[in-house]
Amino acid sequence: MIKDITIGQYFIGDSFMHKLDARMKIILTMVFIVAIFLCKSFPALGLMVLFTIALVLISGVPMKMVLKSLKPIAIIVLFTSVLNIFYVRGGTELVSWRFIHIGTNGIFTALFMAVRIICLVVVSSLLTYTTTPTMLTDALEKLLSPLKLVKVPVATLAMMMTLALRFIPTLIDEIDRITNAQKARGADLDNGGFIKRAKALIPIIVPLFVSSIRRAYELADAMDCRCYTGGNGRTRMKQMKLMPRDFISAAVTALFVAGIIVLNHFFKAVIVR
Amino acid sequence: MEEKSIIQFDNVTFAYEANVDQTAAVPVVDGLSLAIPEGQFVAVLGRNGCGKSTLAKLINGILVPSSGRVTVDGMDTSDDARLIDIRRTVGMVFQNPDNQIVATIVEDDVAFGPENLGIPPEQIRRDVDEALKAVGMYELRGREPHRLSGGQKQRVAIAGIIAMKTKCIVMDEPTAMLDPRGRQEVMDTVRMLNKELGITVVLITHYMDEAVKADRVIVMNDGAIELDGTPNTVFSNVEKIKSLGLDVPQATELAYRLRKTGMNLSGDILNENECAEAIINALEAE
Ligand SMILES: Nc1ncnc2c1ncn2[C@@H]1O[C@H](COP(=O)(O)OP(=O)(O)OP(=O)(O)O)[C@@H](O)[C@H]1O
Ligand SMILES: [Mg+2]
Repeated sequence: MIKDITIGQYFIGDSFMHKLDARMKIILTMVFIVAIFLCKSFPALGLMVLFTIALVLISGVPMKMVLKSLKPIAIIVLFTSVLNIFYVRGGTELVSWRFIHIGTNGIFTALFMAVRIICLVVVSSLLTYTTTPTMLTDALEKLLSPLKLVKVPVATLAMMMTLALRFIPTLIDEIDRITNAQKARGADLDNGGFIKRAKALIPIIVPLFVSSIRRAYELADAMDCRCYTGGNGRTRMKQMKLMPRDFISAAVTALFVAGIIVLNHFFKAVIVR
Repeated sequence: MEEKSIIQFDNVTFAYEANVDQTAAVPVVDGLSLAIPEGQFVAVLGRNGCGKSTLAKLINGILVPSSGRVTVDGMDTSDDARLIDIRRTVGMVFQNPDNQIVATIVEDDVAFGPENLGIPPEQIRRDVDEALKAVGMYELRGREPHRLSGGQKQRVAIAGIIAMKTKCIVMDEPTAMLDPRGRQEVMDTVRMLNKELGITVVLITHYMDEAVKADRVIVMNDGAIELDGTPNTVFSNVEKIKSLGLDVPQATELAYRLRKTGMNLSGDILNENECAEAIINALEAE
């Protein structure tokens, strides 16, 4: 059972996007997010949608999985759209009945907001679909390394994150074992009201804490034995190196942003924000 | 024998801090002296709580003696400035592989030690590949540790020490959590380390069949060394070993009982073949 757990939501693959340097992917994702909010005209929005679709196709992640990542935000998208339709005034009046006024501006804003949120979620989930948590951690460590100058222990924080990732499956396994042990002793975990069920968790949480602390001590000894003295003076086996494909991706993204700015310039902005 | 000893205990005593229940701290290791020459394969036996793990932790400075001196390759473990050098000389493998693997990918874990030592990346890559090949885990280098069997995880932990190129490895019951097959894998690896790479091995174990394969067996009791010698000489003291709460290998036990019934068998029988041969000889002589 535990052997099937994948940490994070990495989708195993070998696409162009999988091979990109994780640092570059993080930066380009951020650039893309900024570009999303630059879109103000219909042609710009169209360009963004096309670009997003192209990215999904390049990543090789099945459309079904991408859509799955949209499920949790469906409600939010719907909610903001409805709000925008009713609250944003102006443009050509379409419906005017008592206190309800719906204008073209409202509809356009709703449409823009919905498309923007969807693109944002799709692109950022592509980042996590095509990058392992380990690569993400390493990349973040590198990107944040300037903070070392202001005494932020970046390497130590990255180590903590790696250890957390490493121990998730181990602890899930442990919870499973403790739960079974308590059930075998007659603990009733599945019945009763909220308070009763919450109380029933105590015999699981307490042993979990005790064993985690013991693990932490043993791990500390093992790390000491392997000469871990904190982040200073550490080298890394896997060096991150920017390849031509990373620069190509950066150039394409730059072109895309430029395209959006140009389209915004030549076509009428349909929303204010 | 004029060999250089890599690990040396001089009259070492160690006591943990006094307990919460205010009982006085009893020494767990009590006036122990020991010299382990380079290249030796030593097995340490003893019943639960006799101080084996404490002994192991004293070797590479996780614990420091209350009195006496432990030296590793001439370096005193109580000298903080030499601690890193000591740990580059003596590696340690613990009982539970889950609590000593630090990375989410096998090869990254093996690289952890060399990375801490600040070795250049290309060199680490070579050392890691070599270490993984030595323990037979090279094909699985890209796996996540939680998808490995216990024996495989323990071999990864061993590879992590090999990659640091230590001269000596101390293992505290590395096979205790493994099934027979995992134990076999780990024991084969340990033997290879000692015979082919010439690494000094200190193996703490509860399994007699593992101890039999060592060059030297040390039996501990109450923080002191009770018996010390080759497997043959140690296990010929059947009564003594039993009085210390330990078992002897099954073949030794059989020979011992037969000898008691008056059969003419030698006292230093360790495995089935030796036992069978001795019985045949004895029967033919009658
Ligand atoms: N951290 C500690 N604090 C206090 N006492 C300890 C500590 N660790 C071990 N002891 C005590 O020291 C004694 C020796 O422990 P040690 O772990 O060395 O035994 P061992 O021979 O390794 O036993 P086992 O075969 O069970 O692993 C035991 O009586 C134990 O209760
Ligand atoms: Mg022990």
